[in-house]
Amino acid sequence: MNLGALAKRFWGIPLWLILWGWIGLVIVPMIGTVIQAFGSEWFTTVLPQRWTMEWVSATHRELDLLSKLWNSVIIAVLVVVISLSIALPAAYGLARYSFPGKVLLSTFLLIPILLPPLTYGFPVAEIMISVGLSNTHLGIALAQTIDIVPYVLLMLRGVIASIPVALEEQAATLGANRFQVMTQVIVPLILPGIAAAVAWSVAKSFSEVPLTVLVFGANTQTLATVLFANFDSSSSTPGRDAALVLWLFVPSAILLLFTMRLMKAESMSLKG
Amino acid sequence: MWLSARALLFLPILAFMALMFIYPLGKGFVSTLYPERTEVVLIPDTHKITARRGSIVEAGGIVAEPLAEEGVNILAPLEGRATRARRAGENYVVLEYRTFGWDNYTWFFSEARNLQILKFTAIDLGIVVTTLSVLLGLALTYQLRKPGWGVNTLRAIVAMPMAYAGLIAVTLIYIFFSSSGLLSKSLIGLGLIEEPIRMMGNYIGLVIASVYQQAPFIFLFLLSAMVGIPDTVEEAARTLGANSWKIFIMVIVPLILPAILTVAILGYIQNYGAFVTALIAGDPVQTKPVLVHAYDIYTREANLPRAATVAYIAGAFEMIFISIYLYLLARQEKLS
Repeated sequence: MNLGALAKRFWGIPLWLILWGWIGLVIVPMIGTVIQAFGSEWFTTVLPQRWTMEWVSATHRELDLLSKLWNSVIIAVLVVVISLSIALPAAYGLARYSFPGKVLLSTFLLIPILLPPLTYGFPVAEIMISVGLSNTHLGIALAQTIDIVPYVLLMLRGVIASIPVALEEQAATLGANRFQVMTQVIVPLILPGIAAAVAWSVAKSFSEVPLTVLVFGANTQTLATVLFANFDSSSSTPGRDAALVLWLFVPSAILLLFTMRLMKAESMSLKG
Repeated sequence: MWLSARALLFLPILAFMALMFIYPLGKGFVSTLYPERTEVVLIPDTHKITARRGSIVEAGGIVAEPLAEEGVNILAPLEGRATRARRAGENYVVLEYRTFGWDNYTWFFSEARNLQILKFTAIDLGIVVTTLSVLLGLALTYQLRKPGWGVNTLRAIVAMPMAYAGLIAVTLIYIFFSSSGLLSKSLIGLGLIEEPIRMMGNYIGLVIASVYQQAPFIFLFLLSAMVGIPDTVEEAARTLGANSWKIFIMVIVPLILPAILTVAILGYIQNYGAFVTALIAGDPVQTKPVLVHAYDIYTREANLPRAATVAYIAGAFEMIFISIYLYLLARQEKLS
């Protein structure tokens, strides 16, 4: 068998190696973090010698993580309320009507997805400081909403577009007014979509750093900023790092799994 | 009347965007501040402050007496815009000297360090990470392009890091690859290496962590393009004698080239936003992308206008590529 035939026969092997290597790279770091967070006396062995809750409880004790988690939750709730109340009507408009300038409008509303947050973050921080909203939950939530609302808009638009217009028309024929159509036909039908958008916004808000670090203060530290500051400093140790990651990762993972169950990737398209 | 009813639907989001996105952007664009003339002026408790936030402070109008005992030097002339008026318990007023001008922009392009950071972001980080991510994404997509038993699960696992891209992805990768992480520890434990490998906190770390976040996105994007290719195309090429490699290079890649180009541009833009990734996985000085530079200026020098200038210059580069992306998108829609 010559070299060419050999190459022809085995060229798929590197591709399989890449695929399984990548799958390993997705799964193994998670396992590694869990091992790191609960292991101790880990020197020259494959796995730690002893298992401990020390890191998880130490990070909780020293960094007052429950109050940070509480901050994260308040901010996330505000983000959800703000982004849903402004994205829902717009998503309905984009899904149902066509009008001149629609492509332009939807492109404009999606620009924050394409721009990294820090690009526009500094002047936003300046505004927050000048109106006295820095170091408040509302200020952080408003800043985070800029980056989150386009995604919520995309998700809701996809969900609304998948509901047949006929249902609305039937309800209208049967005497429902616009408000009743909205509250009794549309909202119940898109409830799973709303739930997915909410879970996604909360997960995103939990781990948001660039905009938060510009607006936050001593009273409004979130889990993400604590984790970020810990990694940014030289005083971190592997066990503490890993435990802190778990504090943030576990709630986010639950929320993201919830989103993935409810949402199909295809309905979130960047196209106008 | 139909127009006004529909316009109402967009009113909340447009108002929000105008207030939170456009207005700050405009504000930052027009005002270039002289950093050396922004002052925090301490005020003794006995002194009554009458200036309101945003009011123009005339020479000597706010702080008439020098505060020698506090050791604060008040520079003359004392005029500017009070950005933070005194509230209960706060003994300071921040004065800003606003002018319109291009000083910060000329400063940016006259300092070699800034240009070096821009070049690092655009080429050493952007081009390298995007190329690696596209190649990796192509390989992953090609392997998982056909439906089959368990393929959907594998697709979901491959795309997973996209869901927690950002802080969580970077920290997971950092913990795994760092010299005290699972990789080094288990390799040492197995006796394969003597010393831990140092893969984080340098350029390699930054590239690994960036590719880790970008490749899943590219995979998902290319997958939707690749599943659209009918099986018959591949079968025809095979019947005509092409091997798998030839089919990949001469049939599949040309067919999804527009998608590859689009996703490469989208991925490339994201490298300008490297912030959390760069601070955790990279070296804070050696491998500093442009937005970390802006953040450093903001936090270390407390110089917001300069930070905003640096961010805007990064944003201008991003906008160039976003325009190309939107152009490609519009063209594809016309074609389909």
